[in-house]
Amino acid sequence: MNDRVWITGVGTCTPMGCSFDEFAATLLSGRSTIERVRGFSIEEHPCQIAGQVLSVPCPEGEDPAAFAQLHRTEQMVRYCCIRALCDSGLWEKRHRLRIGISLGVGAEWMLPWESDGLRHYHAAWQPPVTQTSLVERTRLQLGISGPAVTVSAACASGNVAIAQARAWLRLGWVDVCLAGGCDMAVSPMSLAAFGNLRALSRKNHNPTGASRPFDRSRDGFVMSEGGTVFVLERDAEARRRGATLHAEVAGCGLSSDAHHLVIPSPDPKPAMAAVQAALLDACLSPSEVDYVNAHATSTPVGDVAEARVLTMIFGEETRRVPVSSTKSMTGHLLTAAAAVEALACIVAMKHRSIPPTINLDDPDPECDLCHVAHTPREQPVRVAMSNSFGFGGSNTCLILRAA
Amino acid sequence: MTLSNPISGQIRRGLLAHAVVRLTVETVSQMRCAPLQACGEPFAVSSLKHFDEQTLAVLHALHEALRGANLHVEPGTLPFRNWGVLAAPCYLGRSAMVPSMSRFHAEGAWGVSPHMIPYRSLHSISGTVSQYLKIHGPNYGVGGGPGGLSELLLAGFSLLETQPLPGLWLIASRIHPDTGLDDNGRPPADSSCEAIVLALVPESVVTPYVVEYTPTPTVSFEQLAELFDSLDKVPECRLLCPFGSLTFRRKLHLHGPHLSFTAMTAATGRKRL
Repeated sequence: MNDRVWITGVGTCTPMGCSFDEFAATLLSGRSTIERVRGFSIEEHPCQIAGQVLSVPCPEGEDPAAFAQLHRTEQMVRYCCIRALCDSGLWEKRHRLRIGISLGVGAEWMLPWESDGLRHYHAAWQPPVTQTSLVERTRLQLGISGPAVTVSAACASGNVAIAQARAWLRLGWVDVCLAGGCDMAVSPMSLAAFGNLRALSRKNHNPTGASRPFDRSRDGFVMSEGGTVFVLERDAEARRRGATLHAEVAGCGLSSDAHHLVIPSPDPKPAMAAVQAALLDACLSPSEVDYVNAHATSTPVGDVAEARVLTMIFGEETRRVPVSSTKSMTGHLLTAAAAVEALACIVAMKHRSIPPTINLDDPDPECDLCHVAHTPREQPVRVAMSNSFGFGGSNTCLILRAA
Repeated sequence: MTLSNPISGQIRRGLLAHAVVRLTVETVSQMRCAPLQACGEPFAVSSLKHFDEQTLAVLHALHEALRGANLHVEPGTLPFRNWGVLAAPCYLGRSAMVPSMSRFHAEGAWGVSPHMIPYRSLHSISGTVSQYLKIHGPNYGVGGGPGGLSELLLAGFSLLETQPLPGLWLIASRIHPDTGLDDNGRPPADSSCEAIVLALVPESVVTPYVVEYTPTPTVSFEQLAELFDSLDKVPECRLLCPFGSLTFRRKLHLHGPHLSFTAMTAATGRKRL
C-alpha cells in the first residue's frame, strides 16, 4: 500500500510574514525580525525583546468585528487553518471531506486567563465559562467533520501534531488533516516567567543580534509568536486532484530524555533515538540528508547537546551536511516553532536555497557542524531534517522530502 | 468535542494496569512532604513543592495501578523504557496562575514564578511521568480542557496503531468539583484531585483485560471512572457513545508472551512474570 503523505497546503503568520512568499523572502534575506517588545510595559522584564505579531490579519470571508473579539491565539489558529485550506484548494470542498485538526497549542487556557487577569478580572479563579476547546471551536467554525485534538510537547509540539495527522491519514480516520502549531505567548507574564527561568537572552540592547544559535556568545533564546498550519493528504487523493505537493512527510521520530523537565539530557542517546527513528521511518540513511534545520535555540546548554547528537548521527558526514538554525531570524516560537521550521525546510526545497544562521560570528567549538552562516547557501535540497526538542524532555525529528 | 462523521475500525489492546484515584486536597498537599521514587532518581521535596495538584494525583494513581496489577518495579530497572506516555490534565496551572497573577500585580515581572512553565503546562504531567518511570518513548500532553479524555483516547490509540510501542500510559486528571479557587489558588476543601491511568500493551501480551476502542469523541471522565469502578465485578464493561465505543473485557484464557516485570502476587510474593 502506498501510504505516503504530502503537505498540500500552507497557512502561516509570523513576524516573518503572513504568507508563504513573505515568509520565504524574509527568511532568505537573512534578516532578523526581533525587536524591542511593544504593546505592554517591559521596564522590569529581564528580557525586553521578542518577535511579535501585533495584529493577526482577518481572513477573507470572516466578520472583522467578530474576529477582533477572539483571543489572539484563536485568531492565529483560525487564520492559519483557513489560509492552509485555501492554499490547498480544498476550502470550497471542506464540507464534503472528513477533515481533522491536529494542532500544537501550549497555553490555550493560560493566555486568556492572563489577559483577563491583567485587566483585574478574576477569570482564572473560576472554571472557564466556555469549556469548548480551541480546536473544537475552530472545527465547528470552519464546518469540518473530522477529529480535533490539541497536543503539547512544549517546543516540539508541531512535529508531534504532524506525526499524529499522518497517523490519522494512514488509519483512514481522516481524508485530509490540518496539522501544525500556533503560539501567541509574547505576553507580560510569559515573558517574565521565561525571563525569570533564565532561559531568555538579555541582549536587550541588540534585538536583531540577540538570537545567535551555535555562537560562542549566545546567552539564551528570544521569544517569538505566530503559527503555521499545513494541509496533509494521502498520496493517491493528492495526485488524483492535482494538488500542489509542497513536500512529503517522509519520517517522524519521537522520544523522551526522561531526565529533567527543563535541562536537556547530557546523554545524547535519547535525542539520537528520535532522529534515528525518523530516518528509519523515512527509509533513509544520514548520508541522504541534504539539510538540517536545527532546534538550536541559542541557549548555552541546548545547542551543545544538539550538536553532539548531530555529530553522532552523521559521523564523518557531519562536515558535509549543512546545518542552520532559523531561530536566529525568527526567534523561538515555542509550541509553534516546529511547524514554522518545517515551513523553513519547504522554503529551502522550493527555492533551492538553505536559510542561514545569522549572528554566527564566532562559532562555538563545541558546536562543530557544517554551519550555513550569515547568508543563504544556494543548493538543491531534496531531503530536509527538522529537529525540535521541548521542555518535559520531548525529542522530535521530522524528515521532509521534496516532490 | 463532537464529530459529525463516524470513524470506522476497531482497535484492540491489552489492559495491563489501571487505576482511578480521588484524593482530597489535603492528601495531595501531604504528598509534597516526602520524596517519591519509582524507576529513576527520586523526586526531591524541593521539586515536589512545584508540582501541580493534578501531577501529584497522577503519580499516586500510577502507584495504585502498578500495585493493583501486582507489578513491582525494582529501583534501577527500566521496564517502561520504550513505552510512551500521554497525559490529558484539565486546566493545569490554574491554581498556580491565581497567586502568580496577584504577585505580578504587586511586584511586577520579578514576581512571576519561573516554575509556572516547566511544572504547570500541558506537557508537564507527561514529562514528569516520563522522568518518574524512565520512559524514553514519546511523551506529550493532550487536550487540556474538559473534553481532554476523548482527545486522549483518539491520540493514544492512533499512536499505538502507528508506532511500534511495547506499551503506552494514558493519563487523565482534573479537580472535581471545580467550583472556584481561593486567592491562594487552592480549590475548596471538598474538592478532589482525580486521576485515571491506563497501561495499554499489545493484545498478545498476558493481561487481565482486553480493550476494544472504536474512535469516539464523547467519552467523559465520569464515564470512564464509572467503568473502572465496576470492572472487577463484571466480565465485560462497554461504553456505547455516538459514533464509537469503548469496551473492557476480562480475558478468560491468559496466553501469549509475557512482560518482563517483577510481579507481586498474593500467593507467592514477588515473582518474575
